[in-house]
Amino acid sequence: MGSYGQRILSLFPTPFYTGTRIYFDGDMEEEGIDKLLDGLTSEKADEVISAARTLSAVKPELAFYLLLFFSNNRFLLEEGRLAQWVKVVLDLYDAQGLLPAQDFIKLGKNHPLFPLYLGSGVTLREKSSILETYANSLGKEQLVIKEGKSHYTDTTSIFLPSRISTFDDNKKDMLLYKAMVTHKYGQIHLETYKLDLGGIPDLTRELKTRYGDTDKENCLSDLRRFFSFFPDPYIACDIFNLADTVRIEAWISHNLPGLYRELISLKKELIFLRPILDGSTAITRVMDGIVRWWLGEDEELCPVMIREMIQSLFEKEPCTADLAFFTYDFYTLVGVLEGPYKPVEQIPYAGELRPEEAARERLRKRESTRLEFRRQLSKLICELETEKEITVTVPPSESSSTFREGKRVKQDLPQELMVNGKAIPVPEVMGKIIEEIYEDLGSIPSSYFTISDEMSGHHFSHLCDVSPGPANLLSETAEGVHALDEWDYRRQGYRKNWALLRETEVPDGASESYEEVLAGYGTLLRRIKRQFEVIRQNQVLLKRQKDGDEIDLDATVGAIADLSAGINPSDELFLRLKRDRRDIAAIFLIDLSGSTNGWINRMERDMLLILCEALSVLQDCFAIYGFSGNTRLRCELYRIKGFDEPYGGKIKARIMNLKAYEYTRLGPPIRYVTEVLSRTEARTRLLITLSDGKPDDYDGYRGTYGIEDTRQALIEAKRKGIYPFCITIDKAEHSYIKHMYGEINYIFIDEISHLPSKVPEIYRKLTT
Amino acid sequence: MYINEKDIEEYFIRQEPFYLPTGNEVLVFTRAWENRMPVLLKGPTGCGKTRFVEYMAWKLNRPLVTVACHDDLTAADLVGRYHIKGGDTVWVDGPLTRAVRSGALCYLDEIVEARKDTTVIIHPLSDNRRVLPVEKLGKIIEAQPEFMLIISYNPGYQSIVKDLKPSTRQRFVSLEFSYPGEDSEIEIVAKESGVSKETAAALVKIGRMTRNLKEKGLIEGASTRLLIHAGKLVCSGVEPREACSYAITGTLSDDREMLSAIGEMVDAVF
Repeated sequence: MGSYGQRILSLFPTPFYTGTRIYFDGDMEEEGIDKLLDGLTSEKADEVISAARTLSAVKPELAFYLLLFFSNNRFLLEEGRLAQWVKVVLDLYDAQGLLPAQDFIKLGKNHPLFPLYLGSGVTLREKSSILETYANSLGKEQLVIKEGKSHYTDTTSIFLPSRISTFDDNKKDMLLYKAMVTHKYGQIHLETYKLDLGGIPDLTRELKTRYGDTDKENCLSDLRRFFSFFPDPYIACDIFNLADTVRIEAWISHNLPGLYRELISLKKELIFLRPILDGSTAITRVMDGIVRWWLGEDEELCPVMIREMIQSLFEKEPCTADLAFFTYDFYTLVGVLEGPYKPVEQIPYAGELRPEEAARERLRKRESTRLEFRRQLSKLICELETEKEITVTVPPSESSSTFREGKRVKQDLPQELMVNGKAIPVPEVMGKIIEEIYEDLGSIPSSYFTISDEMSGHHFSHLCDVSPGPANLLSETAEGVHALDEWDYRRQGYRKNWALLRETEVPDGASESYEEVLAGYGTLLRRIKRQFEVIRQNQVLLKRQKDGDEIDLDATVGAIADLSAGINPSDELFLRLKRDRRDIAAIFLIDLSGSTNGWINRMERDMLLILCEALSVLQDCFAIYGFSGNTRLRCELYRIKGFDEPYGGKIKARIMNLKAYEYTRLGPPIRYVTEVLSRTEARTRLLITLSDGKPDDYDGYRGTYGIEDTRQALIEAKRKGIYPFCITIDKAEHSYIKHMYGEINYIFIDEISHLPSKVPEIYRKLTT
Repeated sequence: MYINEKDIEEYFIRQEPFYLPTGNEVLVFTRAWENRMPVLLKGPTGCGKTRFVEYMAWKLNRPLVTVACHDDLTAADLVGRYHIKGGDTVWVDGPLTRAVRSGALCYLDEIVEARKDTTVIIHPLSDNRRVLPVEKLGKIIEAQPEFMLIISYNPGYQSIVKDLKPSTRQRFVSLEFSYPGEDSEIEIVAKESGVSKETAAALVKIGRMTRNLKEKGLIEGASTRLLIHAGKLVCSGVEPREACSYAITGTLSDDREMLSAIGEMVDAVF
């Protein structure tokens, strides 16, 4: 019997059936199953037997195969991932049955599903936030990291593979991610996609003469059009991509020397992972050789002339037009080689060139900047209150030519706009938009200044592009209506004056009496009031202190008297104001969306009554608002109690009159009450939200959009010194709340009926 | 034991502090002083406001009285109060009164942090009256011609409640400070910390990268002061990446992912 034989055999019933045989008493020993774990330390054997026991409890055969094919999975034991592997096996067994699970055990690392479930390496999911922050630190550009099937950028987003497991070392995999992000940032920063054929007419002419006029003028992107001039656009594209990588690496070597050093050693390791070409054409072999040489392999792989061309490219900080010239020269040299060309594998961190995607994104950005420009312009004109006929121009700039030596020359940004011949200084917000337009187009096209009469006068209502909801919409100019910005995570910017919010008072006079409700909570109310009385504190002037703000005259007179009497006087002669008084202002924001209808609404009302009773003991300054809405054009904020309203019968009646209304657009009410709260002078300012689910509204305010807007509104509140806290009764997963409020700034109450007792308790804990 | 102790009227800065002008702030400040106008310095933390005031005190050869304001700072702390001495009450001037009497430069750092009643007492000093009423003494003290009031504040992250009231800010000549340009900052970091130009350039690069993250996860990027701290650690033999981790990364954030991201930036530069 093997060292762990008894324990192994105890895992299986007798007789034990497998798909192929029945094991009776003694058969397993005969087969040597009991000796399979011999040689393992007792600790390791314990771990395997424990895993086998878990499997055996579900299906003894799974444990049997674990032992039988243990050698195939032993590496998991060494890596400490056996428990994780067991989970995968059981999931597979539950989902697909015994045979697939058995295969999975048998094939170990070689099973096709292994990399998916237990693959090594680094996943984008765990690193995207770090990579995005890193990408944004590299420059002013606002970039987003996204998962994609291939690696490229459209100049706004960087697409990366979901997992990298190229190396055995996770650090190197992460480094590869970082190199990819930096490379793509380099493309955006160095304007790879902004090749302008208009700036290099000589080259275009020469290409047409040499290769015939294959110009595809309808191409969205000039870069794609440039490739189309060549007989084999794929070769041109690969040459350009290589040249671009060379100049990006030169940029990295100057700006991020630490990364460049690591990249050099990473490149050497990447050579070994490159597939070896078999029976390829001359041109394919040469192209592959050049890439290999660039990664650090032997010089012989790359012709001397090309080596020198690439080296000089590395040294001279080329612009994108220079890359086009380089591509042409390079193509002339290699184009004569025997084809056809089978595109070689690109350098892993260089990814693909996607000129169309970049062009499309550029057009989208251009359109949104144009709209934003016009919106700001109409706002500016509205404020000026000029006559109907308006002419807007940009004052002439000193540098008028847009191209110099193939490079676009950036003009000076205008500091003023001429409105009807009068110079108006450019507002800050507009300045940023103008900067974007200049970055893109070099100047502001005259069409941008064409503003229709209706736009200038009614910029808000005419520029909305979302179809309004069914109910009565608010008008921006109506009394008590506030236009608030909303955060659009997709463009990482605000939609100005996007949501219209109206503050109204909840009408009082409900059918049910609040006295009855309060009477029903008699015991709870007494307990809570007692607890709150304990923490109530007033500011106290402490007399006869050794130090303080003012002299205690009584004590001083006494001391002088003592001194005259020949007694040693006391040194406790000061008055001090005790500072640890409560100085708190709190706003409670209550979800009155349709989903709270019924029981939740009832419990919210009860909770508010109890809370108000408790807070009136504390004499803390507090306000209560309810919110609901229908589209961005009608966000309703119901004032239940304002800061300056005393708590009394009227407030109680309003609480009893609360109803569930429509949707949950959380951002606008948070922004509004943040303003209310920041006008108070309290030392501690609290914003407590009670909610029953994710932000959700009729016009696209759901999912990531709603969550990100709410999060942004909360960040704004925090910046104003407000402490936000959320009480949620959402039974579904609430990881989104963690994202919005922060890890420790929310609490989940699973039992609705506990609301009246829990909420005052939470408030007490938060403020003491 | 020898303690280097001076009355604040005698606190002259004898050695020229290192200050690299970024615009014509030195000229404007000098003209304001000549015209007896108070100055308001605005700008992010650690960008050189205090150093500028020290430099100007040296340049104008005036004593410098600095008060770091906090939310418990009372008017009495600035103006003065009665103390008991040998059975008698004795009036002791506060730093502001001493500066007014001796014609010093009085620098109230982070003025908005002080209690509101405190900011009001500087009003008569900061307009053409240039007087300090001392209520408890029943006196009005006229400021010496060389006296100058300088206040600073950081508009970046103060709450609205603590914003400077227009009645206060409209008495001052405003000088806006921001982080110096790249070349100047490299020079400052190298000179102040003693590191080589290359190391200083790398530190400034990291500083600029963190400033790109302002409002994208960080409230404020690394200040020049932080970069100098990191430089000093490097100069004392701490490995650059480690020095940045102690002096910059940990200081800017507590968020785990942000810390990792800043770590990646540091690794990319060093």
